[in-house]
Amino acid sequence: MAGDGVDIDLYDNLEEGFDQENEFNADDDLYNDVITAPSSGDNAEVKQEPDTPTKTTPSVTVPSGYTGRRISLYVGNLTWWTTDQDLIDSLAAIGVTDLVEIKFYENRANGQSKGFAVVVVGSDNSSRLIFEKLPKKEIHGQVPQISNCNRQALSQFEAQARKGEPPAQNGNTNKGHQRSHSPSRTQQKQPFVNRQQQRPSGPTVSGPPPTGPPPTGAPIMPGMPPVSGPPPQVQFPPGFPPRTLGPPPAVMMRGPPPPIRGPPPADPRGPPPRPEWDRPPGPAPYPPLGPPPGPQPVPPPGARPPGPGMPHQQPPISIPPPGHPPAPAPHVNPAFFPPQHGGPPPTMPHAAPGHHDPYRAPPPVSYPSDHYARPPTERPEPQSPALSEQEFEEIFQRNKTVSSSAISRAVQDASAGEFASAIETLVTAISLIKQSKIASDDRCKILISSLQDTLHGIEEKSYGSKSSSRRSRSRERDRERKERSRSHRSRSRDREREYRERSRERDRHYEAESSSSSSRSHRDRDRERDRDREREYSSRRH
Amino acid sequence: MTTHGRTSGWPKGTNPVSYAAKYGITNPSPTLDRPINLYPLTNYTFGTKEPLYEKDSSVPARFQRMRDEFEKIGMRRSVEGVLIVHEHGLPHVLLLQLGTTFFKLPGGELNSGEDQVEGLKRLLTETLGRQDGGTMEWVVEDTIGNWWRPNFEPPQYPYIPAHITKPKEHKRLFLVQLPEKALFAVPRNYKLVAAPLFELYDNSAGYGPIISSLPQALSRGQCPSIQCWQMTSGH
Repeated sequence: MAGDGVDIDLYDNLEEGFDQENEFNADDDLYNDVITAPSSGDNAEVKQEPDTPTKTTPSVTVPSGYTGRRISLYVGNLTWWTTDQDLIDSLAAIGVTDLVEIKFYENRANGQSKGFAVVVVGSDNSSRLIFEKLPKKEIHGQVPQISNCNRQALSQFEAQARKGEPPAQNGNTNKGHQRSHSPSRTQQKQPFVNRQQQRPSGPTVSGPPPTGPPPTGAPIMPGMPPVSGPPPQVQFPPGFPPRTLGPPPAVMMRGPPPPIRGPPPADPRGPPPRPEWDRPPGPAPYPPLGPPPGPQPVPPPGARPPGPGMPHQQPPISIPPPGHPPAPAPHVNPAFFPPQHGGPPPTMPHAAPGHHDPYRAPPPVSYPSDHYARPPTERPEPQSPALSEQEFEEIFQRNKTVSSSAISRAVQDASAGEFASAIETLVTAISLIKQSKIASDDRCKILISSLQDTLHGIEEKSYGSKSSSRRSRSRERDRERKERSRSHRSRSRDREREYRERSRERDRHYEAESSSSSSRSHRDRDRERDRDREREYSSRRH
Repeated sequence: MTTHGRTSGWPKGTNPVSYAAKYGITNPSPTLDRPINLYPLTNYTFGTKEPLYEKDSSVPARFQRMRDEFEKIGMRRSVEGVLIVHEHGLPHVLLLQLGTTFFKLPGGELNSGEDQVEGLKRLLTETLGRQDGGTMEWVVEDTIGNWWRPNFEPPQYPYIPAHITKPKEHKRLFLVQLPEKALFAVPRNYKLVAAPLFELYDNSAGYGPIISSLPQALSRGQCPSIQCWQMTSGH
């Protein structure tokens, strides 16, 4: 097939058991011309692939290189074996024709789907169709939950996924619980619909609780299985609750059992990893929730075991938009979130000081409260001891960006001959990543090592000698020392600059020396003085 | 001694000592397990040749090219060769080292429509082939693993996750039986290292999941299949 420009060798990998190697946008040319945005029109033409024999579903996707609108939604509550093709088929069945992309969230450790995905479509109409119609379709026996793409929804889904993880206590039962809980949880929420609806205005209220989980993975697991369910529903931004009601009714049946299970699991987990998250389960009208205290912080979403209202316990963070009525307040124990809430709504003012807690609490709590006090920047760097998956991912994404941009900048500089700045860039990136909370993660270690490799490569190039590694080490040491004392740094930097002007070899030598002992600075100064003196002598002589 | 019916690799004129006994195999059955013959690292000579740079200059570029090619030709098919030698009776895997911390197996991407084994031989010759144009004898007979990349992202798994219908890359690992003696030319930008299995075992932090699971993958064929030949003369 090498000769064919645009044909895909669909049978290329038959021996590997794949029917076809279609990208989403295969076979969609006929439809694309009709439905896709004008900008993708030429792409449709370019991809004049013959219809594959296996094409049975109507085309729902747009060709690659799509440059039209991108409307993203989260589709969750999927089984881990729900495939992208299943989603495509479901979307086709409800009439969505401009699917751009589907990307599943997966456990990095083993690739398993977390049960939710980002679906990108090209029009508001499709988005509306998805919101309205997809929850009416079951995929592998589960009803998809749809939400807009925002942090709270993400954290809610993450929490839901985590619930399925075998925690120490429940193990597989959680998974089962999760599945059954989801529906039941929603159901539980139902009675509290009122409560929830109070919140609709304050998405943040529900938001924070759901986001709880991120901060601590541990807490969530223990008690959260039951709670995760409800929160998701609660959290969705205004307008969402109505939708959630849809699915919940269906699952009502399963409701009872799960709620009961909720509290118990929570209990064991009592000891909240994060004290600040201890939402007094007791105080709330949901005594059963008592146990949650521990888990609550984290599982905010999940934290609402049987007590539907509980979720809002997280008020501290959730102090969602001012509009929120006191609903969350009752559950929230101000003591736990001292800086934060004065009450549910008042969180606004607390936002500033309170942002600390939110961090401890589910950092992601990004409900609409984004504009409330919760500085987005801080969220990324929660001070919570444990890192939720989302935080982790955020930090890791940042580290990845840092590392790749540092490498590309450094390579650019190096090719332009500016080795010093390239090396500086890389060293800064390395230290940034090392300082991050997840520096011990394998992935970060790989980032760090690739940065170090680039660093060595550039140093080798600049120094052109085999002892670059030694030099780089001394250079790093040099830098560390410099950071320690500003004056020393400025002095040695000046000295470095002078040295560099004179000769590279000598510079390196001096740097190595100065890095090995700060007392050498005297020697350097002496040397400089001597040189000056020499210059004087020489000038006098002439 | 097992009769393996292979013309190459048979130690000629020497008194080979087989480590089969160490593995408890006194009468290995050639019909059950095709023996894999390993020769001492010292049997091989490694020269250098001009650098062989990667196609992608950065990680983002790599994934961008992967995306573009996926659009055009579908799933990327990669093949990698596991070349094994032995030292002191312990198999060692030959790895290419880039920089100080990054290791990879020789191999690469197949062209669209290319046969896997032929493609692997082509790639091995490109990477390690002699510069004087002498033919390399690559004997590729066993697959020892398959890995799939579900998204345009680094993670790869030895299975296709249930929710993925279109993996973006499929990598197949082949066991490459080396001739008894050979000359390799290593591109200057790489170092060729022989990593003992214990170094790789359980060391996915250092080598990644694929390379660090090679000991397990190879154990399937070991004992009695692996025969470590040693030249007694001169050793």
